[in-house]
Amino acid sequence: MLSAMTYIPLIGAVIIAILPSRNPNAYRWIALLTTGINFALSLYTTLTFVRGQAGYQFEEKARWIDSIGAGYHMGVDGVSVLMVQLNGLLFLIAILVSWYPIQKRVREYYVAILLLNVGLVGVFCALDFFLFYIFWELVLIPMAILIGVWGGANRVYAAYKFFIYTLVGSLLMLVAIIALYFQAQPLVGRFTLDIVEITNATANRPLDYTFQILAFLAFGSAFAIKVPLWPFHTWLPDAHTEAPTAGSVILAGTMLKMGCYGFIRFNLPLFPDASKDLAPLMIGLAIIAIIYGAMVALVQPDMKKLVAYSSVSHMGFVILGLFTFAYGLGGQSGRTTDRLLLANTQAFEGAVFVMFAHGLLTGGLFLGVGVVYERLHTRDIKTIQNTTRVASRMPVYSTVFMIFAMGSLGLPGISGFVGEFLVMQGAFRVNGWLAFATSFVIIFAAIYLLWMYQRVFFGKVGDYDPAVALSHGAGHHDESHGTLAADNAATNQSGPAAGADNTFHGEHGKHPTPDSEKFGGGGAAGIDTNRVGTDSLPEKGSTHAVPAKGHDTGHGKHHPDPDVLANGAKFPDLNLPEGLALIPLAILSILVGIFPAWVLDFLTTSGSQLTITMVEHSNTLAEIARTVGK
Amino acid sequence: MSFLTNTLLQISTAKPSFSGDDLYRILPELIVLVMAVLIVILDLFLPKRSRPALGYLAIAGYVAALVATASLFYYGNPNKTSFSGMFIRDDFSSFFEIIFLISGILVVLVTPSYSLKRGIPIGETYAIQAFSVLGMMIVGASGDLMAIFVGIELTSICSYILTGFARNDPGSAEGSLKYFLLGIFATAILVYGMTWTFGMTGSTNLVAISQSIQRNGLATDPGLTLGMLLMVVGFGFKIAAVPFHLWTPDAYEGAPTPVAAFMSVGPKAAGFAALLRVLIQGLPELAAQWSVIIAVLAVLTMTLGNVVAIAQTSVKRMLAYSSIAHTGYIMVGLAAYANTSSPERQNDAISSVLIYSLIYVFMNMGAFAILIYVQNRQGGPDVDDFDGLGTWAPGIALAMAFCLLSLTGIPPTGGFLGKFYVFRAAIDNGYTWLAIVGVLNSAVSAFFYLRIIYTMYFNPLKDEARAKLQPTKTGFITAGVVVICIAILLLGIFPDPALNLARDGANPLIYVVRATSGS
Repeated sequence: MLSAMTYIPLIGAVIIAILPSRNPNAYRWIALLTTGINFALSLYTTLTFVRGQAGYQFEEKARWIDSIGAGYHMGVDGVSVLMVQLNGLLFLIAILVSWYPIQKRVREYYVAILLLNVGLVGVFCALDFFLFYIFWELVLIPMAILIGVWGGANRVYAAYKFFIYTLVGSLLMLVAIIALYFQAQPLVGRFTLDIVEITNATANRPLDYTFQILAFLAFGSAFAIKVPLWPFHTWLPDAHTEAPTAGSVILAGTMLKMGCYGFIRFNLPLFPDASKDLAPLMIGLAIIAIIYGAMVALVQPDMKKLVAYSSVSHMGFVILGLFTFAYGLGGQSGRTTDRLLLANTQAFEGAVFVMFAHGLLTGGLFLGVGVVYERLHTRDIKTIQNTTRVASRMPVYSTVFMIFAMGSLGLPGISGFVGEFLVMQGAFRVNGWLAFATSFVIIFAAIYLLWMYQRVFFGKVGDYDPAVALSHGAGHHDESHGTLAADNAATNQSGPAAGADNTFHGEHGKHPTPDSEKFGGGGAAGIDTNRVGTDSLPEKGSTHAVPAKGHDTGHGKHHPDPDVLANGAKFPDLNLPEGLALIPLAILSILVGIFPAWVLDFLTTSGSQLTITMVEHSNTLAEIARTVGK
Repeated sequence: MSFLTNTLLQISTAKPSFSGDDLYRILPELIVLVMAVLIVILDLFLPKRSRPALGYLAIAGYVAALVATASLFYYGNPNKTSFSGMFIRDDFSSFFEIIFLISGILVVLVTPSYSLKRGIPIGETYAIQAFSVLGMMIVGASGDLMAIFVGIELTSICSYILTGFARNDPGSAEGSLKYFLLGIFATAILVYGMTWTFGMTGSTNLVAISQSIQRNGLATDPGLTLGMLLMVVGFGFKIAAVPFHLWTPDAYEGAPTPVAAFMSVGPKAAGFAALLRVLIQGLPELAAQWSVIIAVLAVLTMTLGNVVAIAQTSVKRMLAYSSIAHTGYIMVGLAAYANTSSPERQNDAISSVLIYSLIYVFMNMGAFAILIYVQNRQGGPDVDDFDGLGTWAPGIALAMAFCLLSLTGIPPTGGFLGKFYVFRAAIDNGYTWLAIVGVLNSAVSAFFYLRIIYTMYFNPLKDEARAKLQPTKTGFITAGVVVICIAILLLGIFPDPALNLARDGANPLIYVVRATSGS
């Protein structure tokens, strides 16, 4: 089952690569079919997954490279089945939203995205270090290609940065894997790279403490870069900003989870003593990430960058949850572990819930940004604010986007709240101030998300007043002929399109009709065009008083894409693929928010298993210490 | 075959140290020798037009030798010495012979389109290549310093000639001359080291040397250390280890590209075979000393090769530096040998050198083969000439990307497995710091390998350059590239058979060491 899920995208990629047809729709349908099957399989896996059962399910085992002890071992537990499910859903969505935007090198695009799918499913299912590492690196190349070929203006820089940054981390992990392989050999009794065997062996007999610390740092650096944890986050805004929409969705939705998953699967169970002793460090970094991400998101002029930094903040919650969980467990440090901390599985559950919810919500936010970008060819919040009022033109889209924004800022009832709440509860058990600090950040989240929403979707403040809008139209009627002609000649910066619009506008002024308001059909283009040029007008209630001046001050460096003006008329609400992608995602994130037990049920067993793994060995250690008489 | 051996048996009963058995053990070498001589003779008589057909003969010869080696390997190598201990037929020599023969086959595949286009005599090229392969095979199978020297010299002299083979090209002559002058200097140092070793131990036979060291307690003798140092310098030159690498970029750049491809894999592997034989079989008692030297050289080699490669604008020169860097990775495996006395771990170290050498042959040959293709179409070896390769030759570009990713060490390619195996040996034997240096170097190497991938896919081919694209014959190169890509993929995903071969190949050295130290 898991292997089928992993390799079906590979088959799809090969078919697309060798397909004789040159029709891009063929590629799209094959990719959709492939990810559809993949999604169905992941759904089947999730539904048939036995939730109360400890250990791994759907296990597949085969011999592979005997000489180095690497085997082919796949399996999922509660955490990874959720990730696989999320992955299946997001890839289906990613294919849908790429339907129209991607018109360049369509074949290569779908091959890359399907290969990415192979890598991501594999990472979450692999239970052998060698296999895991292969999938881990396999993710890197297609993602770098997606950013580098189909990305924005600065894409090559971003792709390079992404590749090198994550490669350094994973190579350090490789060294740690090999070292662990030798350290575990006396414990397991033979050379093996099997994750389950090594984990079980180290649960009974802990690894050497110094080795634990070093290996924790080596693994941790790879995962912290992927998460990304402050101060390793600098690649993320670049990668996100430059990536195509689908790339951003995958990047935020599942790739960042690879790092969190790595912490859960390797760092906590394999190095529990190090996890406990380094927990304060990790908690500190997580708090910095949470606050820093939110603060930086506040000042972002670019929608996508804003969402990217909010991701940094949310991922900080995951790490906070995981290490407040680890804080009470493990332990050579001699700190007493009180009962409340020992049973802190809700921090763990909260962390994984944040991972899941963040995949839905931030995935949705990136999709939403992509939708605006497709229509306006800009993501600059100010420019959009000055250009148009999205909410009136795209009501469905605005509603859906609002759900994602509200969920992301932690509104109860939507999935984002549950995880953050649980994590904060867990943090409270460690230290009340931690919870205090993080809960403040939610206010910041509300500020940046609401600001963005207001400015992007409702445009200028003055536009709220229909009367102003009316007078705006009337002002045209009065003055447009004279001023605009001059204005056109002097400061027209938008080429023939704007010129044509202005002429049209003049005509429009001659024959005003009641319903040719600025949101109405054809006239919209003309009026919007003018508003771009003279954006300081409406709230002052005046008309086109000083158009040239308005130009200079209003735009500053944020020049709208000339296409914005040309596209003013074509401003449809969500099209079919976008709707199919966004609306179910929004519904799902509400459902998960109302019925969090759907997700949490998967995690209870995993959480308690992890607790046992981490505590059991520390008890043994305590026993050893007692007998030796330390 | 039995007829042949019988006949040879009858001829060869004259001297006691030279029996038919000996000939049967050198069968692969004999096949290559006969093939080389046949090519020389036929080249004289064939009309110029049909000389390219000699390539088929060369391939047939190599394949026959490969079959002979493989069957010797498969049916259990006799593990005996021939010609008074000069020649050893064991799994180690067979493994290296496989590497050499594969590189011989691949170079025959990539040569014709390049040489014919530039009027380089093709029959002679094949013949000299075959002699060079013969020299390497002798190195791999030698049990005596004299035989190693003969083999190394045969290979080197062929390389000097091949480097200067583009007679009309002053760069070729310059590269050849530099290579030759520095090469004979290095050879002199090598011989000097051998004489010191001989003087101290009284023998040129490797096993006898190690026995003598043990018997007479020579391990700390400064004279022997000097001999070892001089030999390491000499072999370091052959494998292009820093700081003895100075000839490499110039020779590679001047040489016809197929020759550069050949030199970057064959003679390098031969140098490693010699190093392994001499250091592990002859001087195991000095391991504590040479291991440190090799480790330091490995760090220098990896770092310099990778860092300087970033600055190159010519892909040919870049691949020259990258081949230096890969020498460093292989040396990591060699250095790892010394820190342990467990045969299992020693095997890890030696077999990591063997498997890396094998994988390296494929991936480096692949990169060079595609460079040859691009040079044929575009005329130059610069990074710019790879502009838009992804659009005008998508299959070739994909193969190039694959080879480069393998050279970087990204799974699931063979290159990753090679690095994994080498670093594994290093960490296991207490050289974790060396593995970390190697890993960081891999990250550095991503810069320049990725730049070519970037150029191929993201830079458009300019229109005037597109108009100037020249036609070329691609049949052989395509065949070679396909074989290479399949091999890299198989070595990455199902490496078990190759790993087992390498482990078998590493065994003889260890057993010899144990036998001598046990006695």
